[in-house]
Amino acid sequence: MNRAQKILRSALILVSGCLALLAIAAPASQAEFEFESTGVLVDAINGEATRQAGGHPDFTFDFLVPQITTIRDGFEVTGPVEGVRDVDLDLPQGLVGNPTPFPTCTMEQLIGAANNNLQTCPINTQIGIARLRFKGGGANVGIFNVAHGTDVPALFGFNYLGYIATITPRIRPDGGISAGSFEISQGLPVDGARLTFWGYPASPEHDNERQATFAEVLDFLEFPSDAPKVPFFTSPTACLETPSVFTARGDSWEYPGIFDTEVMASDEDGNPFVWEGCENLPFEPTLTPIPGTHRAHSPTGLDVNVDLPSNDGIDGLAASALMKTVIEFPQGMTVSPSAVAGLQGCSEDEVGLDDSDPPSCPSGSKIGNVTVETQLLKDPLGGEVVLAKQNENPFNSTYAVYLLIKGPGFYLKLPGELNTDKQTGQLKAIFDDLPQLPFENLHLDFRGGPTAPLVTPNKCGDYSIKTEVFPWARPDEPVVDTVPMPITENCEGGGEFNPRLQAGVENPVAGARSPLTIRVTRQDGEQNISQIEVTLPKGEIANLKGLEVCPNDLAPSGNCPAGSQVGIATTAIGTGAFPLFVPQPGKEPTALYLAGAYKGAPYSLVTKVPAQAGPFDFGDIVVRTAIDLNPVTAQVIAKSDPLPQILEGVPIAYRDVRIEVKKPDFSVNPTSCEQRFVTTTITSVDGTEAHPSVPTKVGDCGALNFGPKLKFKVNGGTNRGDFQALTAILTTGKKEANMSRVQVALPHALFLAQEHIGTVCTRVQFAADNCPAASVYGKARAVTPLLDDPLEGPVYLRSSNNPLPDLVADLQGQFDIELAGRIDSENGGIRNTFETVPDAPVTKFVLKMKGGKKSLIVNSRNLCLAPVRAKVRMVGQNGKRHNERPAIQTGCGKKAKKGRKK
Amino acid sequence: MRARRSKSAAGLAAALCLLASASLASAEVTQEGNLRVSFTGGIAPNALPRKGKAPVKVKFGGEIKTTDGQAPPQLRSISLEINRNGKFDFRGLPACHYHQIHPASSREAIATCPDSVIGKGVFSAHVELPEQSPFPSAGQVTAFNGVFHGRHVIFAHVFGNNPLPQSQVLIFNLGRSSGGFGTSLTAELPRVAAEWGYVSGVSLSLSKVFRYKGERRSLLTAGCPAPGNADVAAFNFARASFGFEDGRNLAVTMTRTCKVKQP
Repeated sequence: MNRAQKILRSALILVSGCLALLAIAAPASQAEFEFESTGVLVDAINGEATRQAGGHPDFTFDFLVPQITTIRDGFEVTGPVEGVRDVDLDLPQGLVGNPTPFPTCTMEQLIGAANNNLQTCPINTQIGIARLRFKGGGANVGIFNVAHGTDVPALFGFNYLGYIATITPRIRPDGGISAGSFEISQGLPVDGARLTFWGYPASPEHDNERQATFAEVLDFLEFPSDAPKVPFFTSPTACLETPSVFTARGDSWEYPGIFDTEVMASDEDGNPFVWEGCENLPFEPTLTPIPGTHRAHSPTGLDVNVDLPSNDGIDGLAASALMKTVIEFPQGMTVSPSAVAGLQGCSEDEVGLDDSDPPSCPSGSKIGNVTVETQLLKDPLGGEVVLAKQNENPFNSTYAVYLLIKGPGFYLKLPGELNTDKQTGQLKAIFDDLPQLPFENLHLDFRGGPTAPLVTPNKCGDYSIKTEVFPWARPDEPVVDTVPMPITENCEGGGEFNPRLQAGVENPVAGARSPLTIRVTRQDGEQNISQIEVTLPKGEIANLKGLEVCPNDLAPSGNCPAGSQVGIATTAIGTGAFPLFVPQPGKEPTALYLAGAYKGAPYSLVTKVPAQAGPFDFGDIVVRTAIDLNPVTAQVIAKSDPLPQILEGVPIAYRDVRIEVKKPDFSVNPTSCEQRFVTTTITSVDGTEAHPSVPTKVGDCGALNFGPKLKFKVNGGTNRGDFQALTAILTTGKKEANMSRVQVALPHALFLAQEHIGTVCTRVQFAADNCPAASVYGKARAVTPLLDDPLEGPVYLRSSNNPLPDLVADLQGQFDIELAGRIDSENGGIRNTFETVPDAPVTKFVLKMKGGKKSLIVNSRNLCLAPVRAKVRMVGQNGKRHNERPAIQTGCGKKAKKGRKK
Repeated sequence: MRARRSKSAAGLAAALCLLASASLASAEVTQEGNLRVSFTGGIAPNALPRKGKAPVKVKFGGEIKTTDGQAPPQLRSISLEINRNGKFDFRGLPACHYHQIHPASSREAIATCPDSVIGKGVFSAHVELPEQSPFPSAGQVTAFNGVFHGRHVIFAHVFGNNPLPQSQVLIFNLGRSSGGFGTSLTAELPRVAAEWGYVSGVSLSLSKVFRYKGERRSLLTAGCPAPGNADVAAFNFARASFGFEDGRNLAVTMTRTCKVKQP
């Protein structure tokens, strides 16, 4: 309402108030306001009731209020019990009036100040007639189409002897129209009124109902109208079984705000408002969704046009209103995760679906624009498409949108559901139960660019979008169409799979404890990553001593104790230039936990990624990764479970998977400065394997010492032919490089007791952990500062590719390590060489070979005749060498000592 | 009997002329199933006195194969019966004890009992451990005059350095045979590398000339049993048999010739 209108309205009220002093004063009320009667008529121009759907009948609303007779100044005075203040009527959905084609009367003309307060509206602006009732008579006045501002969709009014009444229509939240006259002047003590809006205002049938610039309609005078010969009023276009209802409300000046309500499902003659003839209504919509690009695997916006031709001929029937639209996108066209960064959702409270007030959705929830061209209004309506809050929408669905259409004085808020196939991500957008308001064009414009809401299919081809448009008139007869959606660009590269790898430690110093990062990236458009297996370089190991491990009953959920966290993960997903990085700022952090045995491996990692982005929270994605060691090299092998490919219908196109192991003192660097490699096996969704690797190298190996000590002792007789139990003990110092190779040659005095080679464990048996007990010839124990407990296990003779079986220490514990030594001879002595010793710190290693009947060593001479010495050659991981000729401790010295004691 | 023997000896003489050039290591092959043994053996020198005996060297051996490439069964016993014209004479020969030479390398064993050495040879075996490439194991054989549990025996000391230093001692028991054979040597063999190996060949030559009480003596002496005026004689030099793990026993009688050494 502009300033002039406000002034005018104030003036009217003032005038009305003065009139009230002159008028018959309303007696004091005895009760709250009640209608005496209300009624509605929907009649054809011939005055007979019509229920033709989409027809253009005359519409009449009639009400009476109770009367009372009192004595005033000695006279009987009859008037309404209470002064009518507001009368409001809800029209059923689909019953609409369209004033737009018709000329309007200005408020000044309606007031008619220059005509003794008699209206001066042009004849062609009259769209109905009001029959006012008073005690002992009444008057008929024209209802005019009044010019209005942008705060209301329409305005009607009449003038009786300077008394102005306006009728203001509005759009209800359900799309129905209500119209009311509010703050009716008390100066006009009407008993009731019968307001008729014409179906065809220009019809000659109404010529004698037109009001010229007189006080009222003079039915003996005819005034033709040159208004457009188009309908003003239109019946609903839905033929439902249940009758439409009208609801009238009224209150009084005595009891303002306390309304009497009357519901009318039939007309005054008892004819229910059940519409018929829907089969005759035209319905020729076109629904055209047009993606913003023809490029494959690219983010895309979307334009949606709905055209609904209307039939506004005077003799025709209105086209059916639109009830429901379904847009089914082709396979491969999915929601883009890139779109949700920074996005917000709008809650139901913020939208306010139950009112027509401006919504208070956050600006970040906007994902598009909407415009509507309707014949009901001169100007197109604009609005926004906003994202609904996940699961807090009328569908309780993950994805939903609201079309927030701003009209003059109202907001039309239309919720739409976006269904996604949980398995394929295929999208289906559904807008159902749309208001029965006619429109000619509805245009949705979803933003494009890198953060567009949709992604085109990965491969080029002739796709199509299926559309279904359902009319209110015939809900079971949708208009089905397919809209071509050719994807013809950016076709190359869809089948490739060349993931890239980055890996390294933060502090590349030999033997240091340093955070470790592994990063796998994938080019946009290539096959998606399905599984990642990483083998760390030799010596890049973990310190598990004293570390808390996530219990296996908690690991699947990712709800691991904080003490078991060893790092974090970062993931980027999506298509286009701006993939979505998780975690998003302000969202829950990711975590990488150390957990227990999994899929045959002694340890596992639990990667917990809260799937939170924008307004969405899909819970936690938990991916387990089995952590095993190569038993020979002690290389860490991490093999992930298959990565989830789709989440809540959103395909997860991995662009960047980053693991940062950053728990202090957890990751341990090699003590070798050789160039080594992080190797991977990365599998695509199509089963293609890629094996990117990156070299890694630590430095400053020279700063590490290397001087382990190796002692030997035999326990058996000292005579020729006596069998020996042999014990070897290796000890290392602090800040030493780890062992790389160790070779021990026994003296010639110790032969192989070949007769004791009873059973050899085959490699098959060994792999199955099923070596025969008879193949055990000793035991071994390794103490490492990285584990809580020593590794211990039997020593077998195991088949090998060498001429003789290998001597294998099968060390078991938190990890299993297999230390295999090649047996051969050197200068007539038995020699054992551990060619591959894991680059891991071992402070003490004890090897005990059995004696007696399981001894593999026999004296070839009396050991006491001369000292027996082993020849030891050791090489550190840092390349430093350390050779020894340690004496083998025998029983000779003890006997001599004992003898001396005696 | 004499005439018959002379007749047959004369009949043989011509035929045996063909064999006159037979060497010390002539071979006889015998086969049972897939198992084939080539026995070798002989005596040297070839010319021996018709009457009386002269010092000789005796050699015998066997090579074990299969015809289908399978591993042969383990050799568990060796038996050798020497023609009765050959005589062992251990008198005055020092005897060595088992523990003196085992375990020990050949050199060490010989160093321990140098005067008891009465022969040498070679020993070969194959070891086939599970999932392991078969590898040959060759050894040197040294024969010692020995005493074992009070009995007079011949120790065949086997030493190999490949792949690892190891030694074995085969104990040949001495006995008497019947028929045309005199001294018998029999030995039970231990399993080679437990159950995983098999002997592929063994050979041993025995000879020892030594002095005892100032007299020059020989471990083995023999004459040439040529009949009548024949200068050549064929004779059953030895009967050898190998007993195997699977129960098969392959034996041959080795026939050799000798020439009468002219005085």
